Amino acid sequence: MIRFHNLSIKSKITAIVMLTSCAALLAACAVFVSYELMTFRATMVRQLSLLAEITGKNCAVPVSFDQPADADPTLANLSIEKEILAAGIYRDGKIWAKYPKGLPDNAFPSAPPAGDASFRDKKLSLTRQILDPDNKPIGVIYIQSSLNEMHSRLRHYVGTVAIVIVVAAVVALLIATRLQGVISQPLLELSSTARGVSEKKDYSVRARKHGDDEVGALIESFNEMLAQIQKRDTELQEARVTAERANQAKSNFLSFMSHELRTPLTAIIGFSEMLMSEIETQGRPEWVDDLRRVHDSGKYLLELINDILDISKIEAGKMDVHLETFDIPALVRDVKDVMRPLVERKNNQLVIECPEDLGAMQADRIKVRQCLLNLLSNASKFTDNGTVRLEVRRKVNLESSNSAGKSQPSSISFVVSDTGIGMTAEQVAKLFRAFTQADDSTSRRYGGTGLGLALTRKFCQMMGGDVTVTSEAGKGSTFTIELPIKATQQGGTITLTPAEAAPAPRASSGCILIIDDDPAVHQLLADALGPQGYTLKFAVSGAEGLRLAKELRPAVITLDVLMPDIDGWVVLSLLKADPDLATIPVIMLTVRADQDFGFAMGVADYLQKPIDRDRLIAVLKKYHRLRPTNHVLVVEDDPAAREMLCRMLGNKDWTIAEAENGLAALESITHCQPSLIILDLRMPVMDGFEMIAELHKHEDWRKIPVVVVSAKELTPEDRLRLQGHVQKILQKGDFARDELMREVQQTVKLFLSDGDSPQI
Amino acid sequence: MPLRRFHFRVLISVCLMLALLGNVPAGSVAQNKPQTLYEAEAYLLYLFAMYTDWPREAFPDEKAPFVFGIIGKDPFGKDIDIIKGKTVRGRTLVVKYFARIQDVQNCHILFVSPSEKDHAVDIIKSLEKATTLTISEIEGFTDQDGMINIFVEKTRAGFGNLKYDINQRAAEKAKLRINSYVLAKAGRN
Repeated sequence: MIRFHNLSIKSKITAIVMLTSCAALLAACAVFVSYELMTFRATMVRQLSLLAEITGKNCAVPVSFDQPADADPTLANLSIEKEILAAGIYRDGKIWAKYPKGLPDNAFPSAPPAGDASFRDKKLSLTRQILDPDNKPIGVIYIQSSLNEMHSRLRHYVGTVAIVIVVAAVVALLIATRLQGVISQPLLELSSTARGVSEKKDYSVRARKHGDDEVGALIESFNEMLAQIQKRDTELQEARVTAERANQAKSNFLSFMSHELRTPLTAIIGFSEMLMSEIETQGRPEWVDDLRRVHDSGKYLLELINDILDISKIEAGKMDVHLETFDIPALVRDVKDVMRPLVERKNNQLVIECPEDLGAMQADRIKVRQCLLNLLSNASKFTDNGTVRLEVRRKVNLESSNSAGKSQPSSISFVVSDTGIGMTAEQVAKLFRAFTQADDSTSRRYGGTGLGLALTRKFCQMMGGDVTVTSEAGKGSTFTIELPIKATQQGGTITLTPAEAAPAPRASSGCILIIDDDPAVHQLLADALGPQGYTLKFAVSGAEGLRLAKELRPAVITLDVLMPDIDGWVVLSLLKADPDLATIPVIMLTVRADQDFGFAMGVADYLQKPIDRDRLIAVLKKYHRLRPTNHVLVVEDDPAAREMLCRMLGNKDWTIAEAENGLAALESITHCQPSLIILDLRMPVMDGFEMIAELHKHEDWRKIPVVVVSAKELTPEDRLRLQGHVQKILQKGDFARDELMREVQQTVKLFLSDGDSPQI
Repeated sequence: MPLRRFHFRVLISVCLMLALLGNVPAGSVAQNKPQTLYEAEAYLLYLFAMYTDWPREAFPDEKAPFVFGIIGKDPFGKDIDIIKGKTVRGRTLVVKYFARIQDVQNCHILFVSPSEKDHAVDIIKSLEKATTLTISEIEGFTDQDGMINIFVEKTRAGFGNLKYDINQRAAEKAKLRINSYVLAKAGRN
């Protein structure tokens, strides 16, 4: 049953009106009917007593003369009134005359009843005295009337009242249904307006006012409230727009600065590096030192700028954490490669302790790397002829894992220790503050902005961890970074899930798969090809080879003919039968010379054992070069940077095209569709974002892999715009030139070395 | 004879039910049931007084009594007590005895005793101008312009049945209006 309170106001009003009117009507009818009944009874009594009196009077003389027979005709006259059941005259206290005549005496009360009139047993009985002319009572007349008429009238009344109530209820319902709108309509409108306001957050609407009653006042105050909210909203909106504009200006400035400062620096560093190697080969060593100074200063300046930009980004709240899952040992190897020359330059030994099975963690890889580089370069800076040590450990959080079932993921700690000058407790205290070094003398002696540690701490905290330090003056320092294995999601955190990167277009891993049962051959090929920059994968049987081929999609497969389980020819035919693998060039390595058979089977080339190293390299190069049009388009507005990218890539086996902006690049693409585009984002005429959008409009161009190499600081919005459209984003600011170049080369190689490359 | 037309024969059966007398409730009509013939006759005369209208001038004032006169030898004796103390239309009933007709004045009912048989004509004549209801047992009283003639039905047992004749013309001449029921009951049968 629906509770009355939950009914709509319409139904409530209608129900109330109905109830009220029906109740009032019922009460009125009840009063009316009872009044009518009372009146009717009184009338009945009056009429009957009149009749009794008249009859009594008419019988007075016969009573006086004691002649009952003479009273009978008078009594018989009562028959005209059908309701009269019986009448009798008492004389001397005894029944003296009767009507109707045949009625037995016991039908009458033995003595005339006292009292006037009585309604009893559905009968009205009444007695009147009979008086002589001297007004002396000489007898009593008794009349009994049935109440049939009254009862039928009562039934009639009840029926009428029922009909009246039904009709009135229907009429009331009709009227109430029509008229309830007068009250409910403004309320319903107000309610729907209020709902609309809260749903659409549109405070500009106003409720319509119907009259000056209480509802009108309510609507008025509601509207006034809306007006106030609207006013406040507008003010807030304006304030927010202003704040956003200021914020945007700040980010724009940061973005602009990072780009404008880094781009020329990248060129300075790049060209000085190239010049150095050039000069070294040309035998002018006296210039090498000068160039190195230029190079080092440039690098230092770049670091400085990066640090300052990072700090200002953190302070502006613009620093975002991009979470991704990555392999910890791989990161450590990467860091080791970068740091080793730096550490060794100061005659220090770099010791890395990192178990290979440490597994992956979820964090911002770039920031973790930066933290580690910061700590390591710091350690190296303050250490001479000592040891710089990096230990990576998984730390199980005992407290949490003890608590029932739900084991808190353990954390990873990176411990960087050195045997350098160390610090006093006082120095440690102000260590992590920005723009503060251990003391002024330190900065004079060792240089540096002192921003590195502050940044490191900030980064660690943003990823849900922290960095701590223990140190003893003269004995060295130990910095410990502790990060959760799964970084906690915080404000400004963006998680890069694998789905967010554009699907690699069936990219080959670019490796060379060696299928040979002889481990000696593996070793031999590894020695020969490793230094050439090839990535090698090994399979010791045909079955494993086929599995790896499917898994890795290698650029080239070398295949031994004689193998214990499946023979090389069978492997070859299986490879050629698989449409995905059929195009991979297969180089047969065998002691037997049946070349014709091999070529007939679709063998790309043929090498006879014992393998000639030079010949092998030549053949492999042939198949890398033979990839259809390995054409790279470099889109970069800064001529120096463009020149540098081109020159570096030019060393390899790719043809390079250049464009100074997006429009020129699109022009170039129409002439010759590249296999890969290296794209800067900030350019005049048409920037990188617009160009990507343009590329996306073309069915064919959409598939061209794009690698973004930009000095622009990417905002989360930028990343969203690029998502799904580019294969890789390399930021100039995050890498030293040589690292950047290595990344670019690797990426380019990755996308170009596959036979099914996306230019199709 | 036009007079004869006004001679009504009245039959009244007065049933004296002595046995039930004691059980009559107080305030009832016949508190004193007539027990003798003359009591019954006295009561009948009282009923005549009750059901006859006298003109206004019959009474000198509002408080004047109703005079019940008896002329001649009194035949009632103690039996007249049955109506003594009663009222007629609010007036006290007073019984007066007259010896001679000259003494009769302001009398409303005059009972002419059978002893005055010979003087009945004179008595009626002398009351010609008076508003007096004349009643007698004398045979042929109504024929002599008497108004009501009471006689006893001899055939009936017990105290007998009192009957009466009425000379309505004579009564009307005296401006007396006798109740129609009383008139209708007049007659010998």
